[in-house]
Amino acid sequence: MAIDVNPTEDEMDELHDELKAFEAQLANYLSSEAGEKDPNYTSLTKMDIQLNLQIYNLSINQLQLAGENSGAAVDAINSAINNLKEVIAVKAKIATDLGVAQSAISFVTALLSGNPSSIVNAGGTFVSKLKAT
Amino acid sequence: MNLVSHEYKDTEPVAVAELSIRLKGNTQVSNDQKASIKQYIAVLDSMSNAFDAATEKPTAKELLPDVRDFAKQARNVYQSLAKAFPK
Repeated sequence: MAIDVNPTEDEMDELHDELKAFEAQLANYLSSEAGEKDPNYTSLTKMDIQLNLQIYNLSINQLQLAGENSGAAVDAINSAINNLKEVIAVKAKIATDLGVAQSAISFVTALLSGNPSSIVNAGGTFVSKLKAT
Repeated sequence: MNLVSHEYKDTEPVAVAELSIRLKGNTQVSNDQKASIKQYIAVLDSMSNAFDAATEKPTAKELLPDVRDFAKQARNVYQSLAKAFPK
């Protein structure tokens, strides 16, 4: 019997909201005086554009996971959601770090690919970056 | 054989009331659908702005607000359309 481990619509909404909160933190920083003086300003702005489009794409596509690592991929997604929630509440500028923003993009790209192994890897890296910064 | 007698003067108001409720429900669905289509048309303008920004505004700084606006509106429209036109 195949067990469906794909995230539900509500879980995808939650993921969207957390990623959007991350993106909003970056956008707020970029529109501030400090953000405009950031040496990585242009790179971060380009990443924010990319994040906006990817998060939107993710929000309108139902995630379909298939393969052996599907369960691990769902765990990686849940772990990312939980860490995002925690970190965004505590670290006001987490999203403004170049490495964190890049790992967020990689994570969303992996989600869009629907490949469980990529999601596990990118999710793990994203969570590590969130914790380390 | 017993004939079934139907007292229309008693049952008709109930039927009319039911019809009224159904019509009200249909009108609501129709209004939701109209509203979501209007939103969809508006998001096409927003997408057009984002495209214009991509071609006319050379920096990421200038482009970002239009992309954010488009992504936000497009997501809202997607949800509105999905609600108004359930699978």
